[in-house]
Amino acid sequence: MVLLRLGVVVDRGIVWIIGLLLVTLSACQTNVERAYPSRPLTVIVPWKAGGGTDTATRALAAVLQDELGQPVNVVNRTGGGGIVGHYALSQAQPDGYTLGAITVEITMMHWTGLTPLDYTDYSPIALVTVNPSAITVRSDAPWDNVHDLIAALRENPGTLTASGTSLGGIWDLCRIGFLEAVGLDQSAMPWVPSQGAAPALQELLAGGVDVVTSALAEADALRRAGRVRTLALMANERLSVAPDVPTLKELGIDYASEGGWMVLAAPANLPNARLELLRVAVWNASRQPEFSVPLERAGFRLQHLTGDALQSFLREEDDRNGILLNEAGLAL
Amino acid sequence: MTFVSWESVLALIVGALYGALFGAVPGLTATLAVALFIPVAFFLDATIALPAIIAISSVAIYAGDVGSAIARIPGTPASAAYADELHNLSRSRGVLYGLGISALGSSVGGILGTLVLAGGALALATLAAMFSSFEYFWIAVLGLSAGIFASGRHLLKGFASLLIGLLLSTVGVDPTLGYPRFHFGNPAFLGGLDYIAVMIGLFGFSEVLYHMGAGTKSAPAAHASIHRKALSNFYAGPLKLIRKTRKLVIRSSLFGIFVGFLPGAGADIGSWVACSLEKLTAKRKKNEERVVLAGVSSNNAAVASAWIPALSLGLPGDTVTAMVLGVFMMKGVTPGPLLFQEQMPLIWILFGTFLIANLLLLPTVGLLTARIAGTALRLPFNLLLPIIAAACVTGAYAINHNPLDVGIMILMGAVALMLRRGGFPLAQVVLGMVLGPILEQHFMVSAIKSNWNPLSFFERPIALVLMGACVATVILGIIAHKRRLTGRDKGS
Amino acid sequence: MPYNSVYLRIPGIVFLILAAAIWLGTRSFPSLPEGYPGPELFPNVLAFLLALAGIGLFWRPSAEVDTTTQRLRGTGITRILGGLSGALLFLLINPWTSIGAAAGVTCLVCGVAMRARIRAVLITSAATGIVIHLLFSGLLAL
Repeated sequence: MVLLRLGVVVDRGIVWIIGLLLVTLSACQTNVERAYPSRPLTVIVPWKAGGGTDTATRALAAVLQDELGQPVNVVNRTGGGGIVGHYALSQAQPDGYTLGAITVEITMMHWTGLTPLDYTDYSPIALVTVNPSAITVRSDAPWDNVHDLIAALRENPGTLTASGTSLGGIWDLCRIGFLEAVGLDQSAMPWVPSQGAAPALQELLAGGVDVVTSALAEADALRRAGRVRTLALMANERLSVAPDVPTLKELGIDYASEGGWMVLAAPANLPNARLELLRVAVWNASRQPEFSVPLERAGFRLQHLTGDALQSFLREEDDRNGILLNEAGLAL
Repeated sequence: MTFVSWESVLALIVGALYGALFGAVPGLTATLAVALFIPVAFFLDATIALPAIIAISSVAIYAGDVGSAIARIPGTPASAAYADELHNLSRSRGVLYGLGISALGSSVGGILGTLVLAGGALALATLAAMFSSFEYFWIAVLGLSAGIFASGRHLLKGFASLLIGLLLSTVGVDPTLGYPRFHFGNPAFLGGLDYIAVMIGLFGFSEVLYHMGAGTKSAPAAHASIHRKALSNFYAGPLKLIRKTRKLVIRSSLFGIFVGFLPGAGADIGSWVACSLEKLTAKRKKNEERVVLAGVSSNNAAVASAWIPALSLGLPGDTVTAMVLGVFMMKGVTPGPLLFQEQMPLIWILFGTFLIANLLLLPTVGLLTARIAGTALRLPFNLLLPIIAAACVTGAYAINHNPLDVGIMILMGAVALMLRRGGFPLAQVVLGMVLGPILEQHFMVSAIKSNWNPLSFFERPIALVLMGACVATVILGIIAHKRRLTGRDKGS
Repeated sequence: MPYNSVYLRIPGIVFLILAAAIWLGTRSFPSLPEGYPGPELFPNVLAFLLALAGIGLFWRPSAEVDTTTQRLRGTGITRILGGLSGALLFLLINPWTSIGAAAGVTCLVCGVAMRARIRAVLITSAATGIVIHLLFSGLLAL
C-alpha cells in the first residue's frame, strides 16, 4: 500500500517535470528577431462587442491584415467606462504587436480623476473615425427646428431634460457646449444619466426625456424608421448619410464638436520605424472601399489625421473637454 | 430574387455549427460568435449574412445548456435558472434525454417566438416604445422576486444569495454617475466583475473542487446507458413530454417573448420567472423536467422576440441585434415599419431562417452536440474532472483576456463550496449580478428624472400593472411556499 | 443539530461584518447636489438587507443543509488546495508566450488528475492542451 502511494507520488513528479519542460520550451521559442510584423497583431477595443468603436475597429482590422500580411485580431477589454481597455493598452509592450482603439474618453477621464492616464501615454497612429453628435427629438415633438427648441428652453428653463450617456460622458459635454453656445445655463436642460445611447433613445421614445444628444450613427436607425427627428448636427459639415440634417453652424449657432472619435494607437514609445509602417498601412487600409463604404453608410465619418496634426487634434480635444468638465462641475 | 440559395443554406449550416461550438465552450458566448462574424458579414449579401447570424444565435443559446448537462456550467445567466435541474436530469436519465428536452424545448419556444415576431412585431414594438425607466425598474424587481421564490425551501437563503450577487454587481464604476466603487485601488476592478467568470467559478470550478475534496467515491453514477436508443432518448421522450405539458411550454414561451422584446431587459428575466413559477407550483421533486422545459422554451422564444424592436423601431434589444442593425445600416436597409412593406423578400428570408433554424437545425445539431457530450462523459471521471477544470480556467480567461477574471473565477469556486455546504442556492447569485445594474440604474434614472419624487414610480399605467405583478408574485409566492412546507411535513 | 447550524451561523456573522464594512466603505462617497443620495445609496440599501439576512441566519439557523454534499476531511482539503493552486499556476504561466495558455492548461490537467494511470494522464493533458491551443490561437485567433 505504501509502495503504491509512493509510486503515485513518483508518477506525479514525472508529470510535473514534463509539464514544466513544455512551458520552458514554449518560453524560449519566441525570442527570434524577424522583420516586423512577423506574427499576428492584437487590437484592444475598450468598448463592448457590437458598439460603434467595436464595429469600426473590426472593419479596419479586416482590411489592415491584408496590408500588413499578418492576422489582426480584435479583443474587447470592456468595463469601467472604457478605463479597463485603455489601461490594458497603455500597459502593453510597445513592440507594435499590441495596438488599440483609444476614444474621446481618454481626454476626459483624467480630468475627473478616474485614472491618471491621458493621451500622452500612447503613440497615436491615426485618427480613423469621428462620430459627430446630433440633437434628436421624438417625431411628435412640438419643435420643428433647433431655434424652436432653444426658444422653448429660454421660456421654461429646466423643464426639458436630455440624455445620451452617463453623467459627464461625451454626449453630456456636447449638451453643455451647445447650451453655452446659445447663451443658456446648463441647468436649462438638465442631464438624465443613462448607460449609453440605446437606453437613452428608449427613454426618449417612452417620453422619459425630451432630447437626446448622441451620435447620429446611433440614432440613425430610429431616424430612418421615422420614430425620431434629428434637428441638427454638431459638426462642421453635413454627413453624407444624412444630407438633409443641417449643422448648427448653418443655423447660425457657432458650435461644432467632433463628438466621439476613434484613434488607432500603440502604447507609448513605439519605435519610429514601426510607427511609420503602421501609419502607411492604416492610410492604405482606410482607403479600401470594403472599409469605407459600409462604415459611411452606417453614419460614421471617416477622417484621416496622423503625425503632428493628430497630436494637436488630441491636445485641442483634451483642453476643450477639460474646460467643459470644469463647467459641469465634474473636474477635480 | 430567389428566396433560397445554396450559399444561404451553407451559411445556415456553418452558422449552426459555429454557434454550437461557441455556446458549448464555457466563456465563449453567442455575442462573441456574432461579433467575430461581423467583419465577414460586411462583404456578404444580406441574404447570406442574416441566416448565418440567426443560426449562430439560436443554436448558441441552446448549446449553452451543454455545459449544464455535462458539468453544471451554465452558458448564460438565463440557463443558470435551471442548471441544477438539467444536470440532475442528465445524470439520472442520460445526457441525450436531458439535452433532448433542452433542444426540443428551445425549438418549440423559438418557433412560438418567430410566430409572434412575424405576426405582431409592429404592435408589440409600439408597446415596447412605452417602457421608460420606471417600467424597467419594476421589471427588475419582478425578476428578483421570482429569483427568491425559485430558491426552494429556504427563502432566506435564496434572499442571501441574491444579495451577494447584487453586491458583486456594485464593484466598479457606478453605471449612472460614473463614480468608482469598491475597486481596492486596482484599475482592473474598475470594469466590474464579469458575471460569466463568476458563473463558471460558482458552478463549474466549485464542482471540480468538491469532487477533488471528496475523492473518486463521489463520482457520479455511470452514464453507460446513454448511447443505447439514442433516437428515442433524444426525440421521442422529450416530444412526448412536450405534448403532455404544452400549456406550460406555451406559457413559458410567452414569458420569454414578453421580456425579450423589451430592449435591454434581456432574456434572463423571462426564463427566471418561468422557472420559478414552475418550481413554486411543484408538487413533487419529480418536476425537474418541467422546470428545464419552462426555462429553455422561454430562453429561445426571447431570441426571436429580441428582433422585434430592432426590426420595427430601429432600437436594438441586445448586443446581437445591435450588431444586426449595424449590418442593416451598412447594407442600406432601413429598419422600421417601412421595412415590412419595402423589404418583403428580406423579411421572408428572416422568418424563414428562424423557422428552419428552430425546426431543423436545433434538433439535428442538438443531437450532434449531445452525442459529442455523451462521448466526453464516457471518459473515466478522474480524467474528465481535470478537463472540466481546464475548461473553467480557459473559459474565464477567454471572456476578456483578463487574468483577473480567472482569479475571480477561482475565488468564486472556493466561496461556492461553502455556500453549497450551507445549502445556499448558487443560481441566485448570478441573477443578482445580472439584475443589479439594471435595478440600480433604472432606479437612479427615475429618481433623478422626477426630482426624487417617490410617487412617480406609481404614476404611469404600465408601471402600476408591473408593480401589481410584483405584489402578486410575492403574495402568491408566500402562500405557495407555506402550503408546500406544510404539505411536505404531512407527507414525511 | 449543532454541527450543521455552524454552516449558517458563520455566514450570518460574515454577512453582518460585510454589511458594516460596506457602510464604512461608502461613507467617503460623494452625494448628489442638494443632498440627494448618490452612488452610495444602492450599496447601503444592500448592506442593510444583508445585515437583516445575517441576523436571520444567526438567530434561526434552519438545520437543513445540502445533504448531497459530503463532509470534507483533511486529505480532501489538501487536495482542494492543490486544485486551487493548480489554477493559480495557470495565471503564472499564461502570460509567458503565445502558447502559454495551452502549456498552463496541460499542467493544470496533470495536477488535477486523480489516481489515474500515468499514461492516461499524459495523453489527456497533452490532448487538452493541444485542443485548447488550436481552439483559441488557431480557430478563434484570439
